[in-house]
Amino acid sequence: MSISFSEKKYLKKSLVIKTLLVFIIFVTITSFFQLSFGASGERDPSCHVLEISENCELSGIGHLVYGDLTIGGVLALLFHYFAHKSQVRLDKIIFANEEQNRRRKDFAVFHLKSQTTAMLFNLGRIKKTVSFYNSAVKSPYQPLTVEEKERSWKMRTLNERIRFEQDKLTRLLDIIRSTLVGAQDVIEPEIVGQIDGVITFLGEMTIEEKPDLTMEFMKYRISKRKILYLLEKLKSYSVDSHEFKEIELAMENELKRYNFRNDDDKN
Amino acid sequence: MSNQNRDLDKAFGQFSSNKTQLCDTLEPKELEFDSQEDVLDATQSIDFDKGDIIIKKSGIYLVIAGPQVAKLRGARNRWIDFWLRVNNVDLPNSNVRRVLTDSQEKDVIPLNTVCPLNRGDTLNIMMASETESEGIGIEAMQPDGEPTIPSIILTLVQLH
Repeated sequence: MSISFSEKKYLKKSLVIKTLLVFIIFVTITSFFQLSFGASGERDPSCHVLEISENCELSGIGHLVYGDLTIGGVLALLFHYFAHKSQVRLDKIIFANEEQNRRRKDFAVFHLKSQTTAMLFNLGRIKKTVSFYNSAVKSPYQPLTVEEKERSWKMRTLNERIRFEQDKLTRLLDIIRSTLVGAQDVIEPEIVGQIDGVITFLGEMTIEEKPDLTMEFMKYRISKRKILYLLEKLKSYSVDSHEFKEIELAMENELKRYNFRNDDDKN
Repeated sequence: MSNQNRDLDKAFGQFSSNKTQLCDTLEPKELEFDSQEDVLDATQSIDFDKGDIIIKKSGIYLVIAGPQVAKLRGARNRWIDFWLRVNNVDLPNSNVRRVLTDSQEKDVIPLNTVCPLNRGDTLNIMMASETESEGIGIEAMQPDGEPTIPSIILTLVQLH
């Protein structure tokens, strides 16, 4: 937390006033106590026990009341004042820290949401490109003709595109992982576990090449479903309460319908 | 109490396969399921897609699997292993092994573990054997006048 120049100046002025005030109080009280501690045992019986005058010596009880108890009271007040001041300062620090954590959490969830959406989009692109590649492989052709040349070109470029998208997915996974590492102290452990599970699963995902040269994107549907579960959770985050809402299982059927509607082929 | 009124706050599920699945490769193979017992609203809390068991409720789960192992050919001792895989990563200390000698041997290998699973996590039962040519794997049977013996029964219960 940075402090501006004007705030520094104000703090200095306030500190000087406080020091002066403490000094004046200290001098006044000690002068008064000097008087009270200066009392001797010989005293006039007509004087009141708490009387302070030129003709009367201060009694033992007067000693206690004016000396010890007043000093104790003043010290108690002083310590209470200091304790209160430091408590206020601590509360301010704690509040600022909590506020910062909330901002970090908001940003992390926002960032994770956008990266997860990008990942979903990327998976869809891989799936579609694999499908185009397989169509190119299966397309009829005559050897040494333009058809064959076009088929080879398509296969090569689509293969490169698949590799490119896979590399992009790896980068996205790295970004999500680093976001998670940076924000794991502010995000709920359950969400951290869920995101970690998705990252682990997608990190191990493969595109298999078959003997007939076609490719298969293994476990695409499951991957998509996992990402949708995660997105659904991230979307339930409220920036007002800074909390994730409970996901009701009743939403499951809706999600399933959405999932199947968007699947072109079911592996 | 009707199914609608019953409050199921813990997830559970039972899955089985009525298909014989053999190790036709030396690589680990995922066991597939083809049926889920429709117990109350259990289908809402755990789902499956072929060999993938999909968790919908985060928690600590007790996983119990019972594959019915068998060997179709050969008379030499051959091992077969079963273990768990969570999110495409093998679960440590979850492997069990059985050695089979001939085709007369039938046995169920209990595989049990407790593990934390989050919403969206996938669980797989993996199988690998010493050889791919002797028909080692899990076998489903249909005895006369008895219920089907599934090749594998898997039970999941949410503990916490």
